[in-house]
Amino acid sequence: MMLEIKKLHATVDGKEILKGLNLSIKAGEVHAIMGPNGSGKSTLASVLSGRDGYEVTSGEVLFEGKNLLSLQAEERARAGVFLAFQYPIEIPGVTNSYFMKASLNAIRQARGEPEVDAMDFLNLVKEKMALLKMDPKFLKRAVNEGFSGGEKKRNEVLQMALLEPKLCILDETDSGLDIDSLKIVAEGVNSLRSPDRAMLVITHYKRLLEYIVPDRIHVLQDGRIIHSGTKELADQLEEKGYDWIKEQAA
Amino acid sequence: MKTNLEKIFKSQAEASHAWQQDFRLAGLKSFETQGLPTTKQEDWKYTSVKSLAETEFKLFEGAQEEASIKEDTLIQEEHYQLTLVGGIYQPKLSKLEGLPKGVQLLPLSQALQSEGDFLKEHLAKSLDARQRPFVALNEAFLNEGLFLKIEDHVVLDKAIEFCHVALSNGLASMSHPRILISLGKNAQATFIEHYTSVAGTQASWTNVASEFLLAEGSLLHHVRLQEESEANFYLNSSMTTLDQDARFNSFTFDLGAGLNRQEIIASIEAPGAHVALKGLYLARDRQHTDFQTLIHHRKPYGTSQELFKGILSDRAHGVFNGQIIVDPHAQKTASELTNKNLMLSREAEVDTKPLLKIFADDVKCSHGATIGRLDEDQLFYFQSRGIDSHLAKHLLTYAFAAELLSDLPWESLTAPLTRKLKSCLNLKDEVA
Ligand SMILES: Nc1ncnc2c1ncn2[C@@H]1O[C@H](COP(=O)(O)OP(=O)(O)OP(=O)(O)O)[C@@H](O)[C@H]1O
Ligand SMILES: [Mg+2]
Repeated sequence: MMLEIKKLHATVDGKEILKGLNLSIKAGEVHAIMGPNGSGKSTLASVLSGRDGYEVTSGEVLFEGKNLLSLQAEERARAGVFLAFQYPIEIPGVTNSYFMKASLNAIRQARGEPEVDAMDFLNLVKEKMALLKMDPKFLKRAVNEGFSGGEKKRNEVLQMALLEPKLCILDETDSGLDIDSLKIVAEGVNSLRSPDRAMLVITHYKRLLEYIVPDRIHVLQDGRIIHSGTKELADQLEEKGYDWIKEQAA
Repeated sequence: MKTNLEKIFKSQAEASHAWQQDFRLAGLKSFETQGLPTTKQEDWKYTSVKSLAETEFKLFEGAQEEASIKEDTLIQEEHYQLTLVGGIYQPKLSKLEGLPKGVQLLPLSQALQSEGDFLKEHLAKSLDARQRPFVALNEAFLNEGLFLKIEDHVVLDKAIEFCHVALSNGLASMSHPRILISLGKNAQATFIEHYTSVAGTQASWTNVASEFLLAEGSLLHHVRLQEESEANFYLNSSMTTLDQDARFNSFTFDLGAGLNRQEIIASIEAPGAHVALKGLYLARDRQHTDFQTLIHHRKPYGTSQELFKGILSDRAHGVFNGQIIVDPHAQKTASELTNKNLMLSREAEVDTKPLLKIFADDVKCSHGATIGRLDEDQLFYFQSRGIDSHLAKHLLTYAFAAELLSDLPWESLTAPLTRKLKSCLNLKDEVA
């Protein structure tokens, strides 16, 4: 199992947001999480990636069989957990290129691989940028600063492609992308699908899941997964909303 | 400090001209009447000179092996250079040859002999010692420093670097360098002040007083780097006067000394002059750094921009007191004053007070100050990409400061100053 979440409870500022969440993802699988605003999707992503301010009050999370929650955020990233942010952070004064190179080398070092030098990095990152049809000028700009909403999302997927994580968590990567961009980014994500990589795709829209076809779809409601199904579930949700599931679950 | 001052004063070699001896005496008198500043005085409220007062200083005597100093102190080989070690002029560490016609660059001791009339007319005419005991003391020890005079329309081809190496042998020593720069009409120059010290000696005290006189249409780029040892005391008062359409473009980079206090004044005395003051101060351990700046718009159509940023860690204390004064008839003035502080520890402190005093009605002025910490979301973003929080903090700190190094007057300065900043933040060189 790549990821096993068992009866996870988590609070933010003393308020319980995750209320006994269970979820397991095998290597090679893509799972989608859908659910109403405020149901706890981003909270789950934050807890998994180790963001400060989220307190796990009970339950456990195993990543490749090991306790994920005892690791610092950077250790999780080095172990292979990647979060594509719903709201990517701007870092004025640090170039995108430096940021990605530092990140790649930190992760390579953790894997016991030698650091890449400036030339190799440039070749590698340009190759990934081509995949995502990104202009190389984004390398010289400060991380996400002044990027449009869609450019930020694309930049997240670029980092993901570069770092080749084992577990990719994509939090609403589709929001803010125009129709063409969505396709390009989805193709980028699909190119990363592999038997030894798992993905957790958080989205509100069926459209993304038409490109990135998931093995399972889960509905998160009030901090719990209340329903799971196959990719056809997305059609039902699009058509009928969440109320019928809530009723079923009640 | 006070007990042996008169003895030291008397031990000075005789001045070249009688007026200079009088000048010194008047300085000493003024210092004695004023006494040392106390924290009861508004502009010394946060800065105590107690430890300075308790140290017995003498004037530095003798030379130091010059080669060992040269190694790590000078920024740039290709500049004209004038170097003082322990307050004493070092011809071998200086490069004054090849100056273009119309440029006089001299150690002050020489200028006091050969340029007596000019100095008599201009020295201490703009920087008033009456409310400044340390400037008065600087006058009392008038002897060495830098004299630069550029004739009308002359544009200097290379920057001038004044390098001051603080040094004590045995006893704590003090140095009172005096700088006078006069730019003629439409003249242009870049002047770099570099204050450093030789490590492992006694505390020393550098007490600089400067006057920059900018004639009509002239342009002075100015960079000051202060990186003395944390045991040292560093005081500086500088006054720039600007005639019509003159421009003063200054960057102060302050890293060193246990006590740093700099007073930076610019006075716009004719229409259309422009002042840009930038500053970056980094203080750690128990360093105390204090900036008192004043841009005085006395005439209309002047513009000024001021941005000072501070980075304070450990138990350091920063003080920023920035003032813009716009006189009643200085209409159409445009002025901006900003101070931003990044606090890297809970124990560090900063007292910031940007102040506008505007007596004209048709002006555009703004001011602001911020005190902040590193952004948690930004730190997390780094960590979520595998970069440890330690490096992330340094990178964010660097990013906060780097803006100030982005448009220095000479490209060749960017690299060494950036290196200084990075090494202060324990960052490797390739970081961008
Ligand atoms: N710091 C906080 N203090 C209090 N409540 C918080 C805090 N952070 C998040 N919440 C609450 O937690 C709940 C879950 O938020 P979360 O961001 O996980 O929702 P989401 O499912 O990702 O929603 P969306 O679809 O809008 O992105 C929300 O009700 C939110 O207001
Ligand atoms: Mg969300």
